[in-house]
Amino acid sequence: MALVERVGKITIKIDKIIFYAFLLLSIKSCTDNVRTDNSFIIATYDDVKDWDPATAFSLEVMPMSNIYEPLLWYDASVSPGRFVPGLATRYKKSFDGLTWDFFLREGVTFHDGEPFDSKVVKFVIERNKTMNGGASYIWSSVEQVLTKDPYRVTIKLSSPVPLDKIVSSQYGAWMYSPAIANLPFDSLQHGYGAGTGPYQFKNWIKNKHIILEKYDEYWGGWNRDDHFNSIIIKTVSESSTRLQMIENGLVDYALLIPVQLLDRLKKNPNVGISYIPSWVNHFYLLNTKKFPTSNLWVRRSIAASMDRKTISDYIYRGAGVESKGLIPHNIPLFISPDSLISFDLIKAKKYLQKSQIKPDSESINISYVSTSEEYRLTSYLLMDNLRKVGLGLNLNPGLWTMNWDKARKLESSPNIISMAWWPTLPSPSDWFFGLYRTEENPLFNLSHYSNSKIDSLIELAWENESLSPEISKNIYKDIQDILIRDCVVIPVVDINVQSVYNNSIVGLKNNPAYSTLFIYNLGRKQ
Amino acid sequence: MIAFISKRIFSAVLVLFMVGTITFFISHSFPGDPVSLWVGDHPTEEQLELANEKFGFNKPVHQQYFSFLKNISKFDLGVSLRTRQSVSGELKNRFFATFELVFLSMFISLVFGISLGFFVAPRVNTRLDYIVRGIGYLGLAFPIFWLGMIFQLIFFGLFKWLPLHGRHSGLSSYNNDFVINEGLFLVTSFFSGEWFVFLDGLEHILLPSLTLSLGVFGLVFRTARSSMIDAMSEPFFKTFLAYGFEPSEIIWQSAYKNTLVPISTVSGLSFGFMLGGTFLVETIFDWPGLGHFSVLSVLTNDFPAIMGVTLLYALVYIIINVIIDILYIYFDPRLRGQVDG
Repeated sequence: MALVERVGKITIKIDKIIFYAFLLLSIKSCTDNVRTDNSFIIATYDDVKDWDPATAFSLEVMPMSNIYEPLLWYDASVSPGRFVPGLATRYKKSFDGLTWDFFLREGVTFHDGEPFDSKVVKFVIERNKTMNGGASYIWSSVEQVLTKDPYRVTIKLSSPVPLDKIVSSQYGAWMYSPAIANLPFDSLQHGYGAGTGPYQFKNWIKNKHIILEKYDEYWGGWNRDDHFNSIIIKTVSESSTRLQMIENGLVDYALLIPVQLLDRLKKNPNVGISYIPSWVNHFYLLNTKKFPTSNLWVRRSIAASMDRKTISDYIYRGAGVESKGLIPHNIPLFISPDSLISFDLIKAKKYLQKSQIKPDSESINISYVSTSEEYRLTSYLLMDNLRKVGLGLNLNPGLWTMNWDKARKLESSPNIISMAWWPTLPSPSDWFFGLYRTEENPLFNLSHYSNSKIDSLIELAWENESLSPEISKNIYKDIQDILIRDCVVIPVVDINVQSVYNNSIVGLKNNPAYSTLFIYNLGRKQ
Repeated sequence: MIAFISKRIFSAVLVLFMVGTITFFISHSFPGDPVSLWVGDHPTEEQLELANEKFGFNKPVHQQYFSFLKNISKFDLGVSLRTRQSVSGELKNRFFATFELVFLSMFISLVFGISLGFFVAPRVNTRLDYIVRGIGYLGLAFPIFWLGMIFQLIFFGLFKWLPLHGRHSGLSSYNNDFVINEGLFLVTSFFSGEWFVFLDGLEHILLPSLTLSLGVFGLVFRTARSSMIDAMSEPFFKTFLAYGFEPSEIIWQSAYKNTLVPISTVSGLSFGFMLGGTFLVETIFDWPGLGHFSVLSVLTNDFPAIMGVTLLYALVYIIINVIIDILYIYFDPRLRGQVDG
């Protein structure tokens, strides 16, 4: 009974407790949110899942590009792009493009103390090939790795592929310590990193944060005064929370803030927003085997109903520019195709007449990623335009994994599917190999397109990239022209990636070849 | 009593089996290739085949179901396709975060709901009654995600009194070399005397628990208030009044017993409401618990994880209801007689 009486008294005192609690919090708030650390803090939307640099193939690029280094970097921030020494200071290739020599940087050590030399390069390439995960396929043309000299590695290829582009890939080309082979599988599950890069792995709390710490022995040295001592990558899945974090100076960089929330940030003098060109593009694949899009004129009618300009200006706003071709306009070896099918509803009606399908007699379906506002609005706009032309459009939004699974099987595939693509390597080949090469069981060739000429041209262009890039460039243009003629795809926009950062940060530079931030190059204004 | 508990445990196992079976077939009927989560954005055909082979997704559904039953009997829930961690490990890590959040929210709802309900029962239709009832209605009426965001805007954005998200600052582990225990964070930091860490955790839990508790507070308050008003119309209450006792004395010393059964019922139901609420609250506040994990698992069709969280939620809900049933017997002597008889 005494306990119950006490509860009654507690209730009466509750107002006093609340008063003192708020008083305490008010005093505390004066000291909160003052950043005294020398860390660069990033708020991202999802956590990493694979700590093995051989197989990591997604958001891992953010921490890994600061922990590891490749043999070469590709600098796409300048035009034309160029290769920059990484762990190899120079390289040469044989006349036939089948033998490549890389001269390695001396005196480099991994974060675990292991030295970096040619044996490590051999170990990494062979292990990556064996792992058969992530982007390990990039090494498929490597036949032999020779290590006669500790600082020179010779790589023999089965076909003359551009190995300089392969070694500078943002996935599967990081050089890592051979100690990984002796690690129990568990260690990789709990976070791991032993590269040669400027920052070393400190700890990972799942779904909370990753902490990287400055590697004092970094071969590049720490010559500037404003280098960051550490990097903290926070996983914050809710976009409004990321917004408030950047708004209040809790983080230096925030990823994926919804466009509609950005207006609030524009008024904040401490936050900078910019859109930077990327190598990602958005497009719609048209099913060439399924009625009625199996009819070329129906496909052309759909293409002529896609209002690219309105989509880029009013749906994507700053986040995308009108496509000039089937691949992003800023990727190496791009030449605009002769012409894209332009938006013209009168032409669209004529195309439909040529197809011999009566207006308003057929409907087609479109499958798009339901979480994307841009795809949704684009589909609505297309539906409206197609209605004017005389074609019905049924909308099938869904998760990408579901859309993809259905689209791979002809019987359940839609007539149109939304797609986004970005390359593993700095080459247009990624789009053409992935999306348009003949496949018995389609993986990403979701237009179910098959053309032997295209197949041979894709191979030819890829193999000429290192020996005769100009020839390769023209072949890529020819491929685009054929695909436009056959109306397999409707390109829509080349994506500009949003960059939301604290204005005190200096040194931000855009390199579309890597979906990351190189924190070593950044500093904070004093 | 033992027979009663054994019967409840048997029915709990049966319910769990049915929940597991239904969830298994529903999650396996969703279209989509689950291994695409495992292999990454641009996999090769060979990588997809290997992954399907590894997880047995290429086998007929009934075979997958029997494997699932076999594994579950060994407490093996498999591996999450999204995070690549073992599902049981993920659940273990996250269970305590959700447990602390729900426990504190329940505590706030019950303490404030019951005491204010009892306090206003003798003061029906006074200004205080209107105010507290109003708060209760608002708690029930406001969508939980909206309330969470408003709290964030006020307490973090405007006044900077409370942290925005997460379970703790986290950086304390970095600066002070203090190893953060992700289990019962508040409890362990309290008993180990790490006051800085404890207060940090307390600050972080305050907003999500307030958000979660407001709706349940409304339910508990209304139940406590109305059942106390009913108790006050009983003859025994009038007799006590005639003997000169104050209403508050009667309430806190005797009449409260009459309200315990309805309050227990509402508490049990509210627990389910709160577990559902964690889906939204944990997402908004980036609380590393089961709710947040469930949302991400459902959104990505990570079905080993969906199976794991569904079974765990069902188990917790069943345990709570068994406890409530036992409390009924304890609170109500008439039921005790029926069970023992």
